[in-house]
Amino acid sequence: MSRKSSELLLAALDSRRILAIDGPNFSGRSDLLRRFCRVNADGRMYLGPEVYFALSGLTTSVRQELELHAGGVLETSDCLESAEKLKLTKLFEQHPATLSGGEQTCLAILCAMILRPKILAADCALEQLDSQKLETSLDLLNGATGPANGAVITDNRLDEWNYAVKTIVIGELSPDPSRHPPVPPLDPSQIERLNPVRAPAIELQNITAGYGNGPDVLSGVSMTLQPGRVYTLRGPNGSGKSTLAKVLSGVLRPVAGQILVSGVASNLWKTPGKIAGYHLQNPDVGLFEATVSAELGYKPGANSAGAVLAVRDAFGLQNFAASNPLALPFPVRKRVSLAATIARLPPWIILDEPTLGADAATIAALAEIIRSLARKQHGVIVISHSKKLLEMLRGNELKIENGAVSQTQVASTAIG
Amino acid sequence: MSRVPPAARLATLLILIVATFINTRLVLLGAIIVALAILLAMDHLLGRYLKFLAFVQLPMTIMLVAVWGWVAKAPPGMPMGSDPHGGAMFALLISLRLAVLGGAFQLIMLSIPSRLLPATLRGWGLRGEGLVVALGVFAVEPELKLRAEQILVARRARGLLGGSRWAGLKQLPRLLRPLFVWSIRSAVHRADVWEQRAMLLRVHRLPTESLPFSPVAGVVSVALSILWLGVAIAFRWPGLLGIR
Repeated sequence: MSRKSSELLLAALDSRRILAIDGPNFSGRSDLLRRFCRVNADGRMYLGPEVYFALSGLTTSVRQELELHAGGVLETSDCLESAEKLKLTKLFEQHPATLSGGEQTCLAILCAMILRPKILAADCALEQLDSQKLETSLDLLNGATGPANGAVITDNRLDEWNYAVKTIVIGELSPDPSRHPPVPPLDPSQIERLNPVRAPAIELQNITAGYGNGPDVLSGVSMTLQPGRVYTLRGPNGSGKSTLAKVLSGVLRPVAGQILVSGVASNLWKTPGKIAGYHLQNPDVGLFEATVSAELGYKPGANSAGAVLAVRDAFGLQNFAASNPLALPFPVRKRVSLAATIARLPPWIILDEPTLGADAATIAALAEIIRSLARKQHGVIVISHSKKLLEMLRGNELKIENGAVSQTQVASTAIG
Repeated sequence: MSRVPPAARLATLLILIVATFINTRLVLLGAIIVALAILLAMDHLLGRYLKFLAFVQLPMTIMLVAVWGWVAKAPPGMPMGSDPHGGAMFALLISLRLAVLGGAFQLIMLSIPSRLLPATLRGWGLRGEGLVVALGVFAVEPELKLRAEQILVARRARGLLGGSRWAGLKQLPRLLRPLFVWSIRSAVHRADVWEQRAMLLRVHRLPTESLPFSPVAGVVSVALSILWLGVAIAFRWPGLLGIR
């Protein structure tokens, strides 16, 4: 990072204020913030989109993680109030790795703030938060508990925030050119190369589900999902969105209730991922192979992989066939993970937070890809906190709260 | 066991180890295994111990009995083939000692509640990087397990793996690469985090006061292990305790 960029960034910062950097993917935002926190790192702290890696890995409970950062018993430290505001107190005895993405983000933010850095750089780290927790987090960053010299934030949802922050465009900070090769944009028209499928209708009847001996996360959920439609699933962090996705994909066996596929009772958990493929929100968990081509399931040069290549091209991954997926930048890893799920062409496709790390142009193209998949008679369920994406896919809304799902149909832009 | 103070916990472990090596009676070793199983059950650790016995101890016992009772047909120090029964008994003695030691380690180490772990490790004299490494060792097992589960979930979610336990078992080799890669990535990321957040200093500031250690639990724990040591000595060297 040039000295100039660092000085420009410092000059733009106000004490105890949030500075948001606006810019598209691959514009150098992440590199700029990473280097800003390395060069003259005294008191500067970086929090990236992989929030889980920001936790210490030395503790086995949320309480212990907070006490490690606070240097004292939680009850006597001043972070208890913030933990309450971020709804972490009920999670104190849980292992940090078992938290949902949004809950992990809250924990990572609170741990960072407990250390009182002079400047906190949150690089797309807040994108997994629901609107309420986002506002609470921004309040905390802006308030007396926040970093003394302010916080710098990059976020692809800046235009959705109902929160006034000082914003600067990335170009004004003279960032270094990206060290990654050019990343082609998403190309939704490639989905037209896919053959239509015959996805079945799925009906859930009084489904109750949870984990181990813990409390039920879903309770008596009943709904019917028709193919060829896009369903948006929304709800606060930790409300059970991912659990519902796991039940639908067969990854989690429900405790009670029945699932009908095309009207016939079906044990989805015996053939997980076959009726409904599920893209997990953390892309790194779902990347297994050494190259992008192996991840997507094709051999470079083979002629039999037309559908896979169409999906690859739709996600702009042509230039990365031989790359190691985990060596790619976060937004590209997310694309690889999305493409790997879709390339297997499951009749139903469940996408959990597909817009993480995606800029406005990518979100618009992603929405078009999703609509195209529905036109090919796939059923698609999208879990997201991105208002932009939810608005673009408006039509069939599923809302989950306290383990119960409500289903509404609203006037929508036609998919077909 | 969860409230036993660090010093008593360590003393209990050391006494148990000594007593186990002194003991040469299979029946006594069997009795202490039952006692350990009861204590482990009280700490909800019995399942782990039974897994250890089934998947580690039992195969090892079969191997040992085969080698000393069937191949060597004699205990160590005796001519080969001279005493098959003695060879098998020797193998059983070693196996039962290992079963006791395994149970003792699980009882002493795994019953430490996460909240008391740093204070316990410091109570054992661990400092600096040693303390960080020890904390990491305790944290890494549940984390690796969770990560392995997440990888299985991700493979199932993509339709690459069936839903049965057997399907999961067959995929074990496929788990190793992503697990290994994740461990490396995690180590690299966390090295940055630890440095940036001065974790080495922070682990020393973890609370040690007002923790629910119970001196009574400590006394009971040490007393029980001394009792076991006394029994072991009494049977091995009765004269030492004035027993004829």
